[in-house]
Amino acid sequence: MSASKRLLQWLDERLSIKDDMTEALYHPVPRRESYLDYLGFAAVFVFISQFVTGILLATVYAPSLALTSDGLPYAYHAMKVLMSEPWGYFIRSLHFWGASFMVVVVFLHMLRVFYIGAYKKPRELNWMLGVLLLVTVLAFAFTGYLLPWDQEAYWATMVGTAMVGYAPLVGDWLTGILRGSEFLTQATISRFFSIHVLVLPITLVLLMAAHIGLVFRVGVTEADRALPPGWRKKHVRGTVDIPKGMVPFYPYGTFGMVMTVLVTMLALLAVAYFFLPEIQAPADPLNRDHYEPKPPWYFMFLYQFLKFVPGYYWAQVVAIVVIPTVAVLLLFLVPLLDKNPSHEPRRRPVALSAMASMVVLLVGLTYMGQKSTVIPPTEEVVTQAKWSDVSKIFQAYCASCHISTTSGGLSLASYESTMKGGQNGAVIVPGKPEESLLWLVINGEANQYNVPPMPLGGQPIPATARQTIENWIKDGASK
Amino acid sequence: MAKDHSAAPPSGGDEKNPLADWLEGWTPQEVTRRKFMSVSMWTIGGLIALAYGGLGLKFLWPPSQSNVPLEEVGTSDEFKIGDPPVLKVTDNQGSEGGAWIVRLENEGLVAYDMHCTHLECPFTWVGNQFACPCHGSTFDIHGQVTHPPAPRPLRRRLVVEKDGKVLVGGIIS
Ligand code: FES
Repeated sequence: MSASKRLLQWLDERLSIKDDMTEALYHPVPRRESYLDYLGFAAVFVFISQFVTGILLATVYAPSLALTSDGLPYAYHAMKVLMSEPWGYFIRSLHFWGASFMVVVVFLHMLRVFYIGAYKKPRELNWMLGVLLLVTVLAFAFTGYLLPWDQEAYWATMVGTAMVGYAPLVGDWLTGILRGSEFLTQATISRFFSIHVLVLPITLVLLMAAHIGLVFRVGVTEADRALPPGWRKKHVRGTVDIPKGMVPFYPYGTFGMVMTVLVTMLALLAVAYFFLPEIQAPADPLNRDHYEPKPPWYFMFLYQFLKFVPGYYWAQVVAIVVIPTVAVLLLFLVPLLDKNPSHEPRRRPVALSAMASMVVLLVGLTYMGQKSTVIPPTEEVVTQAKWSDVSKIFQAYCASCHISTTSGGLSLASYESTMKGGQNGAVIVPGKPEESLLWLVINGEANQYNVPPMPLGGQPIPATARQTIENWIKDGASK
Repeated sequence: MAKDHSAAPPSGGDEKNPLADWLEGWTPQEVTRRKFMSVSMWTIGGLIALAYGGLGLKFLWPPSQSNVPLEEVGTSDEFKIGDPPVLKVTDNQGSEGGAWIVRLENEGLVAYDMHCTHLECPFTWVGNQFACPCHGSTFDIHGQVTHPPAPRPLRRRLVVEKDGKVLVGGIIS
């Protein structure tokens, strides 16, 4: 007997794992495979990448707001120093993009599992574990976001923790527990750091172990259909028994997994290498430079959704707390709600249309939110303004509602359509800015006409640009 | 003779009523060695978990906001009726906070906390109103909402004038 065999035997006498290993490696899988079935493994890979890069980052970072000699909070300073060095910058980039990859891969994995109906009996529990993993991944992203302590980090966290405050009865208290103070302070960044590097990794590892363990325990859905009837009953655990037309998981399936990991890794490396993440100005609790807070792209749908909610307190509670909670709960309960036993896509019209509408809704909201960017003010005041001068401003600040679409019947796409006005009539009265609805709304003075200040939901148009528009109207609004 | 530990504990009373069954279990003659050990195990385990849970909660409990010390932010003559509100820096437990201060005709000196009542973004004074960049809420000079989604008027902070100085404290409304 060779030495390695003897070692394995010695181990097995003490651990009795031979049967389990055999089951894990040599269970039959269908010969025709879809690489989409390995997305879960891609998620494991991205997590390992996050784990490694996270440990490296933790060797140079500390969640401290003590001011360094350059007058910056230490946490921010540490990021700056790290990013001044190419390898450090690359590691940060890997960790930064890893978060986005994680969200994307987990989401796609979930869609695939949903599409093939893999959550149905006897795999209900594994779907539920998957939903818990999804929540954990989002919590990772949310807590990690604050750590660089730049403007984006600070305000996204301010809004995120304020949302918790809308929970009935316990809201304020929960926000207090999360922040450790009224607003964001040293206490907050310390808490977020502990959650990010201690609580969540442990949670994720435990959930993932259970999630993967269950896959081996119950087998994959695709195998169910390929296996001859009664195979599972007759099968003796720990024996290799591959029915005709199927192949053992090792090395056929594992090869597919390795390829999936390779592709994922190459994509991650490429994105991290070519798109180094910026760091913004250090967090300024007074927001002196009028930064416009926006969440990272994976929470954009929520940000955009909140813009549509009416301003009553209870409407806010419903939108911010009730709807997201119910949505996660429904997702968790999918295997119990969907009683249709079929795995065949054609026989599951309700489930699949629900899935399609969810995807369209999420992608649409994300796109809308992403597009509602306000271009930072750079313009100088133009005294003898022409249509071309104001048109540029409209392009920059009004495009999403009044150029690509015509909200309120108003299109600012051309001179003619601008002069024609919208459903409230003309918006430009040549020579009279104070009587021009357009001038009134961008200056927030149209409340008496029941028109909200514009740009809706955005930072006001900078004073210089507003002055240019005013000059243009005053001079007769010429072409 | 070896005692048979595997035998089911003697159950008292109506077997179909778990509560009665459970209560019966507490009468002295019914507490078997087996039941005693199982009940103590769960009780001790529960107490240990409770102790650590309580300890953690006590440690993380948010600090009280009621006694924010008054802070000097300027002088009385800086704020005149008719002037636009001014943003002043205040302390927020070691990091910065801020309040918009304005002197109103009927209300006197007023200080608004700088965070929007919707989701606590920082609003600014634009033209003739406070506007929030996050979801577009606006407020008039009295702090009343003029455009949603903000559900509540601006939060006011304690403001005191003393010997020509203006002092700002914690949130009062
Ligand atoms: S935080 Fe001000 S409008 Fe949402």
